[in-house]
Amino acid sequence: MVFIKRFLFYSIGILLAGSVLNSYQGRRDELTIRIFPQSINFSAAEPDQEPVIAAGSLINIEITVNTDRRWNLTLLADGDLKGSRGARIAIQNVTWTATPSPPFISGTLSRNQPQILAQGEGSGDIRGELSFFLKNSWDYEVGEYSQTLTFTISAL
Amino acid sequence: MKTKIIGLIPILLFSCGFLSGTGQERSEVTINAAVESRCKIEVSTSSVSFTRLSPDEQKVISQNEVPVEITIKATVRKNQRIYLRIRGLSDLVDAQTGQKIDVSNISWEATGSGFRSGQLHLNPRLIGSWNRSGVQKGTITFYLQNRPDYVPGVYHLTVSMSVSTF
Repeated sequence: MVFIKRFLFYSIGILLAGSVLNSYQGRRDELTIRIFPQSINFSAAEPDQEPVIAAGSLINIEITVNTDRRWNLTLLADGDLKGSRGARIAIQNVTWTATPSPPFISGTLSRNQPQILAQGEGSGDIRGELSFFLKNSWDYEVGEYSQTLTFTISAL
Repeated sequence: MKTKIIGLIPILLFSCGFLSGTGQERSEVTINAAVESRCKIEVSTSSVSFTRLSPDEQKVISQNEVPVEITIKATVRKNQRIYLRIRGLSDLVDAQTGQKIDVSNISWEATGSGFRSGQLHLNPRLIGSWNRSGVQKGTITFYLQNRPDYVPGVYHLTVSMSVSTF
């Protein structure tokens, strides 16, 4: 009986301490991300004249990081570009260039593996610009395609 | 021993909670892309010629030049078909004498997936068909039937190729 009481006493004590530390840590890791606009468009173009189509607008990113730890910003596509009649364009045909570099990194979209878009350490307010590009091809089927990209900023 | 093991449990819980307490935030962007229907033909040369020999020696005359390379580039809807057609705009005509050789004396042999051989006509004749978007490459070689009743001369003919989708 004494053993159980001691166990409960120390357990509650340690968990409370952990909770307090976690709360403290939660306050430290303030990560916010603002993106605008929240949609971009690739216009139709003749593949020989425009082998690569630039999106009609840039994406602006504002990150506020308040942490002592390393952090990264990743980008993941929810799938391939999907057309209304079931047609698809592989998402790997979409690339981006990012400035400033560092902390931002240019890359190619993936639907399987989050791609690192930016990374750093410590606190700060960071702004960047992304330009997206679609590799054009005669092989695509006629249609209107769309897909969602998820940006995730995490303290590591 | 039992005390030590049980005592470790809250410490582990504490440690796990501490280590896994990472901050995270997400945001989404939608990308849209438009793909329009379009097609075009690329032909490697704008003219071919035939040099006539004795009809007894050569029943069919091949064009003097290397085969004509044809590239069809088309973007279509799913299951939409692409047709390449060819037609003679006239018979072979000698502009000086007005003599004619019927256009049907010219035939072609085709190579390449979806391409087909045939005989020239004043009405469009199918030279290739496909059922998906993409780039199709083939060659055609023209032949002239060598008949003994041709009147000597220099004959010309223009052919037209067109791509359509249905």
